[in-house]
Amino acid sequence: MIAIKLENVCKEFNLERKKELTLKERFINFSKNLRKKRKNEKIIALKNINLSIKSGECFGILGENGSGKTTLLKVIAGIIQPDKGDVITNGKILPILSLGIGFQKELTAKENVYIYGSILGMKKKEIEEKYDQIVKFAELKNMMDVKLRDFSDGMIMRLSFSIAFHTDADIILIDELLSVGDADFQTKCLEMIRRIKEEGKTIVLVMHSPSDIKKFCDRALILKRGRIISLGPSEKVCEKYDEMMESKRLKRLNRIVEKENNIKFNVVGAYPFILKTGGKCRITIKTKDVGKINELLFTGNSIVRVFSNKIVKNNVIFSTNSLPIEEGQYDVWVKCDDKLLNKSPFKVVVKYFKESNENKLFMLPGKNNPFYDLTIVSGEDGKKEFDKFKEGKTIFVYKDLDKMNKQLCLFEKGELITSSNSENVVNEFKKRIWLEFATKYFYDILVRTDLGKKAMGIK
Amino acid sequence: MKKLLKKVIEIKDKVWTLAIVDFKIRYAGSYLGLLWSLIEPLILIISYSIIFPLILKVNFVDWFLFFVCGLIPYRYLRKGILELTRCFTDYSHILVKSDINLETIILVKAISTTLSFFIELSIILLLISFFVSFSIYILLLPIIIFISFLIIIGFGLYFSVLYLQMRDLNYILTIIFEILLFLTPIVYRIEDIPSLYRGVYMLNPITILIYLYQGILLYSSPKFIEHISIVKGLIILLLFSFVLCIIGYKKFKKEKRIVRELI
Repeated sequence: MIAIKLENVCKEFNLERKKELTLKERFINFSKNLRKKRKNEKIIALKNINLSIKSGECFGILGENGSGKTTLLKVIAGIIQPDKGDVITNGKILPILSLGIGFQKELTAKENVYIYGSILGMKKKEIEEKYDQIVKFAELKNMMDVKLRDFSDGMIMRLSFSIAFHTDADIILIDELLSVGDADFQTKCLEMIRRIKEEGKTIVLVMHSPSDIKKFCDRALILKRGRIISLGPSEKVCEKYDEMMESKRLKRLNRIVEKENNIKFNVVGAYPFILKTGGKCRITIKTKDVGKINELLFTGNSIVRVFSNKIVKNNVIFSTNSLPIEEGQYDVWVKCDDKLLNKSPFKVVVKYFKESNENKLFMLPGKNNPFYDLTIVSGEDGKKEFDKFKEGKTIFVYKDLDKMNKQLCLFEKGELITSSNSENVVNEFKKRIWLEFATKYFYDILVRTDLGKKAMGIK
Repeated sequence: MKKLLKKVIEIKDKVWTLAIVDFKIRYAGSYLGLLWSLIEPLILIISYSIIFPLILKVNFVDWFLFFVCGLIPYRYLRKGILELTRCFTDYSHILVKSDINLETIILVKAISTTLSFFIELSIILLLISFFVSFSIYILLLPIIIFISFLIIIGFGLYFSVLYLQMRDLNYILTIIFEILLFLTPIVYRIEDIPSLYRGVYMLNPITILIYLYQGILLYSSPKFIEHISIVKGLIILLLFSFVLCIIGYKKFKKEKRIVRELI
């Protein structure tokens, strides 16, 4: 049996209509209209919606803000009449568009149960019968004679939720209820929805999180500017929604890059944006306020690139990783390499970390560092980098070193020990650290064992 | 008609609960509570009672009785129509989020105003009983209250939807009621109107309504002069209120769709 059927439903909101509400406005607009021809401002809230929901089905509605989700619920509930099309519903509808409608703070909780109950369409007798259940579910047994103004928001939510879900209906429309309330309340909501579902009632859910839709709903749809752009099993629809949101985000970021092509930002937090293949972007990093930047990452999809260079004449394209960079203004050119970007857009993330050991796997070279002699340099041409290091420029080592898909070099006391892929180099590095550490603190023990002797090269 | 009756039964509980609530919250939270609803007209009555008998040079008690019996129903009418005019915006928080029907809101406001009228009325009845004995016509009191209720509903239906498109209506109505106070026999009597204009004056249904209230409540007072027979007046008013309700409902039905968009 079909519970809800929408045929070609259209709804427009006329903004013009709402503009002239007082005589003053009318007069002003009238004199304006003499000069200018009036434009008819309309918002399309729903366009050609065809939908049928079977009874006993749990149906999810996804969409961005202003895509018409609530309007769709209101049309189904009969709160709003559609401009065109038919809405056919079978059974009693309970629209829960917001909790606690009509609650009066000056009246007691008990009286409010009757108010909200009757707004939801319960008969007085019905409320009386269910009163104990409602109170029990809301866990407010001793509070029912207290005025609602002394209730906390959470208690009000609990009460209204309890009333709403004790109302008998065949079709229940729920609009983003889960965005409010604490975690406990949310789980309670979800449990209740599950219970209602088991009772075989039809549920239409509007939610922002696709994961919840996936959990509860059999089918779902995505609304965009009043149109259904996807309708089907909830898993598929949710996947599509996630994709949509991601692509939208990337698109927006791209637009900024394209538009400005010259972005200035303070180096605090992460600034994700994308460049198109072959695109170029100039990033100005102001470090005045932040002091020393300890870590600066430009992240590609899977490639980590570390760039920074003080630009002297505005046209240096960096290729080094000499960090931390000092206070001052830097120009950084990000140039996208066609070869790297044949598939997906190149995403550049500029990250600024505050100095903390959490972000570092390895200690910085320094006088107090017991492993002063050991240095890792990234890049195939590690030797060149190390020369710079010796000149006094510090070289930074990164947290995700193991994941770097890059050539690394390990130096000990200025001498190249190994140059290989990151995995091997890191293993070698760890081994050496262990050795140095062990020699320093456990020398006496080590020399007594064969393994220790072998490891330290003592015969 | 059957449909209408069925609908009324359906929303009866809802209307009653909400009307009581509306009535309660009007005075909830203040120390004197319900008393406030009486203090306001009381002060009005006292101030008028001091000024007008002095100007008009009439017997205070007689003037006062007719004044009170006219003023309280008049206030009921005014308050009812004004409240109903604004009722959709007052209840917008419920209307936009629930499928409650608009007629319910109209009825809720009308009933809650009627409830406060009942309190005022019972005080007048007590007051009158000290001076005059009630006539048989007092039995017609429920009918005339019903007529006033219908008039409020009729105007309310019409103005409530009109108000959404024309927010000045509220002020306009307030002014009209201020003027109408002096176009109805409240501070003076119909006899004070020159007989030449009396015919025109009696065309105003509100005049007849106020006059009938005075007649029903004060029929046995020697000062009461029958300009129009009470039963005849009631029939005229009943017809008037029915027509008004029909006109109001037609307008209301026509504009009903856009109400929720405009609030």
